Amino acid sequence: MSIPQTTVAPPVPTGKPKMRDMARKEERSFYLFIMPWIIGFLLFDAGAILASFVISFTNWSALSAPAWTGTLNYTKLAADPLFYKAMGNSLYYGIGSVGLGTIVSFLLALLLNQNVWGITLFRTIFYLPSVVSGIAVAILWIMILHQDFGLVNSFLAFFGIKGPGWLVQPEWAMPSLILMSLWSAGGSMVIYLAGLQSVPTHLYEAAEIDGANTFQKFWTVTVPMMSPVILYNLIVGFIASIQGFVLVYVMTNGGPANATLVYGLYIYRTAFINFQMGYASALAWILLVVIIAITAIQFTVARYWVYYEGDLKQ
Amino acid sequence: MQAQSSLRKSALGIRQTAVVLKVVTYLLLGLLSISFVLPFLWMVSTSLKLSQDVFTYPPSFFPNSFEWQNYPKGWRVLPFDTFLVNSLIVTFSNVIGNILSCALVAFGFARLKGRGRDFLFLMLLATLMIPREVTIIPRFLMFSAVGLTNTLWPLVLPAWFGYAFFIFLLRQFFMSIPLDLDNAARIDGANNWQILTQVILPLSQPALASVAIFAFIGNWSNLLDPLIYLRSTELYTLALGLNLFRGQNFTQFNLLMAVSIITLIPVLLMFFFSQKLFVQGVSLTGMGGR
Amino acid sequence: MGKHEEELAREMRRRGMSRRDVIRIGLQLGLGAASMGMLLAACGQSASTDAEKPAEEPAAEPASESIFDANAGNTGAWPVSAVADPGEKVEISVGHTWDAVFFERQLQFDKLFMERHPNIVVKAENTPWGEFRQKYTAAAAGNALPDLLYTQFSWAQETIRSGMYIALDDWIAKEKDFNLADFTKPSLVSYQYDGKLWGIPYDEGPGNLYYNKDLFDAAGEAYPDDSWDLEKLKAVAIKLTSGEGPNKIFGLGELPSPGDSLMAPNYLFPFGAQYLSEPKEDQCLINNPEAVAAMEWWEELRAKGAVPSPADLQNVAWPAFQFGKIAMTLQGSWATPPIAAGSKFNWDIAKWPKGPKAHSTFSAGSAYMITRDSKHVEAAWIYLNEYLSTAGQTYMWASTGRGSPSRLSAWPAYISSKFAPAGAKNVEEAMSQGIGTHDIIDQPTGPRVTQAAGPIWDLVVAGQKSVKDALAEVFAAVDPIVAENRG
Repeated sequence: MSIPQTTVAPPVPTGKPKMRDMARKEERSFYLFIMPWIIGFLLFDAGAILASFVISFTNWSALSAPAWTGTLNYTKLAADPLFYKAMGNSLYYGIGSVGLGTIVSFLLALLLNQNVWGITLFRTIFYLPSVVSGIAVAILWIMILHQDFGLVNSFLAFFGIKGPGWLVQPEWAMPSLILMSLWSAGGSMVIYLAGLQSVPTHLYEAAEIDGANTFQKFWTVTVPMMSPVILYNLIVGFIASIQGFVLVYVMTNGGPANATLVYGLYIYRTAFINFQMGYASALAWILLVVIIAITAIQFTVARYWVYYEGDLKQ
Repeated sequence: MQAQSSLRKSALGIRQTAVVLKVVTYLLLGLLSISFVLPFLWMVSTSLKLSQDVFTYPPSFFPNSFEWQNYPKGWRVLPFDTFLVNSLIVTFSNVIGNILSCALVAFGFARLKGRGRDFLFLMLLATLMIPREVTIIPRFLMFSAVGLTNTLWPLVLPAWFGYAFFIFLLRQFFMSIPLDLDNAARIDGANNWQILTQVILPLSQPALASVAIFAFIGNWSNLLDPLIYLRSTELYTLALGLNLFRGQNFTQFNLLMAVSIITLIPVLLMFFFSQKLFVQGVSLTGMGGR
Repeated sequence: MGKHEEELAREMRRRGMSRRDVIRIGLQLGLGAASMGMLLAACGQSASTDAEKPAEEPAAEPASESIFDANAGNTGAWPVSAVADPGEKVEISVGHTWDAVFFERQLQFDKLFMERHPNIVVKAENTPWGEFRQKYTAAAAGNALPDLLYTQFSWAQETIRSGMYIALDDWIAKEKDFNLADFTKPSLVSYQYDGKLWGIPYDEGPGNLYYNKDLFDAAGEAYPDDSWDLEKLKAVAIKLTSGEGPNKIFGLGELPSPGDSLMAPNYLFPFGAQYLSEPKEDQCLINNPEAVAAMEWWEELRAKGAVPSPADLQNVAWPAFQFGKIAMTLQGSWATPPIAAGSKFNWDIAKWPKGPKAHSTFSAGSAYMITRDSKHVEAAWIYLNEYLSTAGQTYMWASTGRGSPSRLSAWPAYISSKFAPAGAKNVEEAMSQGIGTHDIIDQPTGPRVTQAAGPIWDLVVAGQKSVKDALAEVFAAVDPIVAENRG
């Protein structure tokens, strides 16, 4: 994986001893600054991650002693149709919800970045769905989307249209869940809002002097300056959505016909309903590899569109 | 004279555009707000209903009677006072721990160079990428081995060693701050610590505010960790207590929603007031700001 | 002023910040660091008080006036265990998954128990239902299970076989008034393995026909009674279906799905058909002609529009019956308290009607087990013996209206309680007359069976697959899974 270089002043020297000293000094402070994370990683993460890797080579119910099975879990996985189904569903959900979510939350952030009266209240309202109780959200969505009792279909029936079973027809279930996910766009909206706040005003002023209109200012100032934040939201949003399953679990539990069996739910089910912790760990490690690959692609592509003002290469 | 009037004209034009923009903005905000506030309204109305009025068809957003006593009743079903104290301890130490540790680490990744940096950053992101379902148990075993289960430590300690989501977020913000500022400071004899505290952090208030908001809400509503690590009711947090209203066969939705709303209030207050840290808006048109 | 400070000031002005903001944020961070010290101190305290807890007073008393009267139902004679009380204070922990309101009753029971047994301190752990398995799977992996643990039928066999519990036969044998015959026959099935009993059920209830009296009255239809058969159920369900759109009334609440582990006794046995070969569950029989015919018979109700589309919410009630839009529904007896609390119309309970070949309904329940990690098995047994005695079941489940006690001797107290609906005797009769059967899917392969079959059936519900084709696919998917139970 390649991460954009963010070299600070003196580039890594080769010749003069003084320069090498400085590089060494910088390296020392680099490690000093990231030391908290290194310690935390070794204490809390490394062991657990490694353990899950070892477990993936065993048959373990978590309730009694594990048995070593070598690569059996991985060969089983290659022949498991649900593995492919779940992976496909998660990619569908991830791309759909992150793609739409990015656009919606960005537009919301633009709207909520206006300097109008009551804006704090509006921001709070738009943030509400991301913090209200998950059960309230689930029940409400059932009341909205239910084929026979739902508000949407009642509304459509008013115009003589017979609405589909949103959560019952396999082809409608995933689009319904993706649309539902837009409702909690408030989370990434906050980050975009923070990003918009950090765009220097003078850039807009300069663009205005050059005669740029609102749209041009948006494309030449706002978007490039926001690109690091957009990249963050894309990467983190994708990681979260490809693993996340809470709402799916409550609303459809993977149905109908496995149309919403997302990868996270499949892992959860394997681990805690079927008590196959070894197989669940194998599933998790494959996912890890897939996410790393996708993230690497995102970082590589990012070189062409993400602009870091604090990057020497620019 | 002529120049002046044309100047006034364009100023007038700008003002008109501004008014139109404002009207459009309010219209959009108002319409969207309705759909976004809906689940919350349903929660509020449910919290004020009698249990036999909770599920009516069509769903009613207006209770028949206002059962205000659902609030004290729900709150007293379990020792929620104790849960509140536990949640405050966990949440605040996480917010502070996360801000301090993540700022340090993010500065390292954004501004300093060292061998293995890219690899380490990859490891950092990898901690987010491995699904939690398979690391819960190994992690529980670790805390169990050092005798820290059934204490608040497993919920509090890790925050002080950085959290990848926030480190990555802050790194992105730090990297959009021009290097000239660091260099100028360095020439004046500032060291890295001073650059972080006197240059980078002051310029990153909105980003720090978002980290604070996310850390607050994430921990306030965290169910999984308290669930796994805590056994004694005296140590339960609000999120855990709240979920106890959901029984296998029986859920008292009115009480559940009443207590949910009480626990939501600090979150909303936090969100509302933390926006002071989001410096009042530079609007898209560049006409706002101050 | 250094050069960098000027630069900084300029950049901040560019970003619309004032110098005061800088000072403020610095201050806030400082304050944060100071308060952190206090918090950590508090944290350490709560951790340490916890560490010295054992043998101290029990968990905080409920801070409220409970909806349950602590002494109501405390009338029975408590069994005197053959096992002697411990000579010094011991603490036992019990893992429950009660809803918050009923947990108060649990604490009331524990308080009375501790008054009777001053040397046994009972610590009740309560865990949300939806997350119960996650918590105790981790605890099992860490050998940190509580002394006693709630267990539902659906994961009982898996956890028994993994060695999580101790067998109770020797303990039961010590108690001369334990009377295992008092337990309803279906209630013990899921907790037996290898010729031993590994848990004691506290409840076991049948599926009943709940009906909306108001809708029957409006249509001038007589209420369901013992004379009903399934043909009658079907005819009435179709007759009561009426209206369009938001005003539509559905005759029946749900139809069978092979994704439901409780399906066979109600929908297949009455027609002489089976889902899996019971009790070994080592063959899938749902593709047999009589099973296909039965499922097709039921699906006719969907074609007639007499059944609403399913909304399968996990761990969240979807109380379509409570909307008052459904005339009849098949629900376990555990649905009585929520229906009683949440319905604005008149309703009652009838037995599930008989079919041409048999009269049967599913029966299911839960138990408490003593875990292998228990340090005080004697004390745990004394507790379990009293908790699930007639007196204990009366106190916990009969007098509070929860119903479905596993001991027949506790039923009269339930039927005579003010919480029991008029038709409560039908529930008891279903259990005592042998209609209720535990031939449901409860082998360790169970979750995988329903996970494989449910999605296939979803296509029938969506109108995209015929019953016959779907059942052939269910057989092909399920038979290899249950083959593990052969031999």
